[in-house]
Amino acid sequence: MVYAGAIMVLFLFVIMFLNPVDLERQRGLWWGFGTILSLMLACVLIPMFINDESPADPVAATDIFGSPEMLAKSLFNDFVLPFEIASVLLLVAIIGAVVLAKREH
Amino acid sequence: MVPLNYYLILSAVIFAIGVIGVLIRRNLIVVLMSIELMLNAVNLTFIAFSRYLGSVEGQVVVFFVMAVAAAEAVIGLAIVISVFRHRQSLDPQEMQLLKW
Amino acid sequence: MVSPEPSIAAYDLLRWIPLIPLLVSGFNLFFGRALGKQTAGALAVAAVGASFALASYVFWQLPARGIWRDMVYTWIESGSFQVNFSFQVDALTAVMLLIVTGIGFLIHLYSLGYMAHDDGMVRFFVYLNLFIFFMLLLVMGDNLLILFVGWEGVGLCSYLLIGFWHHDHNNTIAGNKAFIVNRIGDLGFILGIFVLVTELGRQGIWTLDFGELQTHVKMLDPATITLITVLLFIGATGKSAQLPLFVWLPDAMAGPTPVSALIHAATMVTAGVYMTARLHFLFALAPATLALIAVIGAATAFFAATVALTQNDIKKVLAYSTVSQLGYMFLAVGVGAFGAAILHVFTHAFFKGCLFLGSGSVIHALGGEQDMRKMGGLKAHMPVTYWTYVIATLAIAGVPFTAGFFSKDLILWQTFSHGEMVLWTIGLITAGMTTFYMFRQLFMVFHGECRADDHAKAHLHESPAVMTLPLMILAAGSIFSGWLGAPEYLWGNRWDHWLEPVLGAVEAHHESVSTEIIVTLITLAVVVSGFLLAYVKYGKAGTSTEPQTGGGVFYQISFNKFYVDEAYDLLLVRPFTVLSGFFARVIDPWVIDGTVNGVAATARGFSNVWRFLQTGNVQHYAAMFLTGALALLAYFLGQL
Repeated sequence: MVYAGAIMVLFLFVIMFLNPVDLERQRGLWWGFGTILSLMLACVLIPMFINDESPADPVAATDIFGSPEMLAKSLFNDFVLPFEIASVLLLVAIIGAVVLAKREH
Repeated sequence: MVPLNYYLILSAVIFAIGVIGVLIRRNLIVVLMSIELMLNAVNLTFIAFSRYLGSVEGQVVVFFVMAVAAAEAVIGLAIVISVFRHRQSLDPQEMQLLKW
Repeated sequence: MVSPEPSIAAYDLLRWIPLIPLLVSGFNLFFGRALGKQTAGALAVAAVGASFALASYVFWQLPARGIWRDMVYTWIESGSFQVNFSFQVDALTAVMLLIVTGIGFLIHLYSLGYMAHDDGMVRFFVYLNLFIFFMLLLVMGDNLLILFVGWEGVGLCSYLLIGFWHHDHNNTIAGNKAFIVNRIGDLGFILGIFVLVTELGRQGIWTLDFGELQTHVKMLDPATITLITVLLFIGATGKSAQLPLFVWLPDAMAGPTPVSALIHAATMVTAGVYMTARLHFLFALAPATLALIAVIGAATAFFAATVALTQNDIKKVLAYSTVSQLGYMFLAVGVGAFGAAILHVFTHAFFKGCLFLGSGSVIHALGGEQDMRKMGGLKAHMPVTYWTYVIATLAIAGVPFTAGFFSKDLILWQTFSHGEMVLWTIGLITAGMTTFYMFRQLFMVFHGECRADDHAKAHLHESPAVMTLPLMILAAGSIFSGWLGAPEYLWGNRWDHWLEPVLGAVEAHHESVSTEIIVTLITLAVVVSGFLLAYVKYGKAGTSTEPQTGGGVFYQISFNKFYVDEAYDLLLVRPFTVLSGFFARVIDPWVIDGTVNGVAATARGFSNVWRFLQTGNVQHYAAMFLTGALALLAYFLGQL
């Protein structure tokens, strides 16, 4: 939820910052073509999922499953490297954004 | 319990909607939002499988996907700001400098 | 038969025989100018002299060793096919070695005098030494491929030397003609080698060594052998100037006279005869080819002699005479008398070499005049030249107890005793014509009044010693060299005996001695009548010149060499030129360039179409991603 809110606020900031005024124009041909293409995607994916088989019994949401404790245990034991790299990634993103969006003097 | 299939179909639909947005919309910010939509659809799939297979690794992946999505949204928006400053327009169809 | 080898064998002697002239040639090429003409020339002469010394040693040691071999390195190795760069000297090669290096040495010496005033003297000796190298490769190679390398190399040197005075365009044309006509023959030669290798290879034998060929060649079927030998003979036809590929030799007289003597009389043109002798075991298995060779040899001898009857250029007469004598050699080959053919090579080298060098001496003395109608009366001014010329003329005519007598009579006798009456008659008549035109030449050049113009008369002098010494040595050879091949009723044929290890024993004669003597007497009668005819027409009057106008049809045909060159030009050269013009003007720009450019144009056309995919619109690109992903998905999901 924090994530969703943060992203949303970010977008709002940018929209307010830029203040774009004109409305989009729709172009008929491309609109139709693009829609058809993604409908095809859906048609490929969805029939794959319509079946009666069910995997193993779903694990009930217990206190420990999906809890922060279990997540953290996995994160810091098995996935410590991606974790660190993700933090570097965020750092780079921050720097990049600052550089890109700076007003040039 | 809700069967797994429902989750999967839901995320497939959300993904498809995101794709439409990326392809059709003529506002760059909306395109970025559609990309976020696609990423979240994938997150949904991961979570569904994590629950149904009893493995916590799915959730760890979601963790990372979110981090990357955030970073990518930030950079994307910075680029949008930059582009807007130059072209005064947010329409991707007007940015065709690499045309043949 | 092989005795303990002398210690000198440790130095791999054989390879130095060709190598020394090659090294000196290269040396002179780079440093000759710095050394100066005379030094460079002396060095070149010394090189051939060294080769001659080595060759003499090899010859001397040959009976003790049986055969000399020297393997230099493995040249080609492909599967079981192996060709080595290696030399061998057996009885046959030893003889050729002595001829090439010995006569070569004398001619090199002569050239020191003849070319002394020429600016290109260094270049001349570079080419001449190079020629000796290749000729030695040819005779010393122990497999057919090395022989062929030498074969081609001497053709190259011949071209270089014919066109030596290249500022005159006619000389270069003559050089081209020689090379191209040789090439046509070489095509036959190469094809012969190819067929030989593949046919033997089909039997499992992959080799071109002479020794191994001799053992295995019996495995081939007669038709194949006939094909191979015919093809090889075509090569010999080109190189040794037989019908129909002789046309280059008269034109080759455009080169300096020592070149004519060495290359176009003594050595290169005999390469064809050597090749057939070397492969005698192959030719012996193809009687049809041998018959063809004999016919062509006799026909060439006759034909060339008829042309020589009327020529006015001193060197042209000798050139056609060479073609004629080569015809005799092939006649001998054709009746199976390989030893007699090689003997004639030997004696011919002496007397023809002497004749050419003598003519060179005359030309040199007259300041470049070559037309016999403008000569005459030189006997008094050039005694050494005159007497050596006389001796050589007697030899070529076949006067008894000169070299030519023994070798030519041997050939005629062999032809007769093999029952080839028609060919014998032709050879006989040709001998008569030979005598006639040679004495005609002698009388026109040396007897009577001097018809030279004043400029030449002032120039007139006997040649220096460096030129007359080789003449004298060659004249001596013209008498004595043939004595090795005397008939049985005299002192026996040492020559055939020497060559026996290579060529096999000569079959015993079934005819009686008296028949042989009668045949010899008939030949002698023909020779004498030829001489008398020449004497009547040219000897007494001395100033008798040719009928300048008219002179009858036969005279015209003979004088214009039967219009062979013109016929070739019309039938072969012009259509070929038209064809190449067509290729150059139509095929090359339109078809070949068109294809290449067409490929480029097609690529450009395609790209003109496909570039519309690049719209620059990111959403379009995303759509293309999606399409691709969809296709893959559909494929893999369909496989489930």
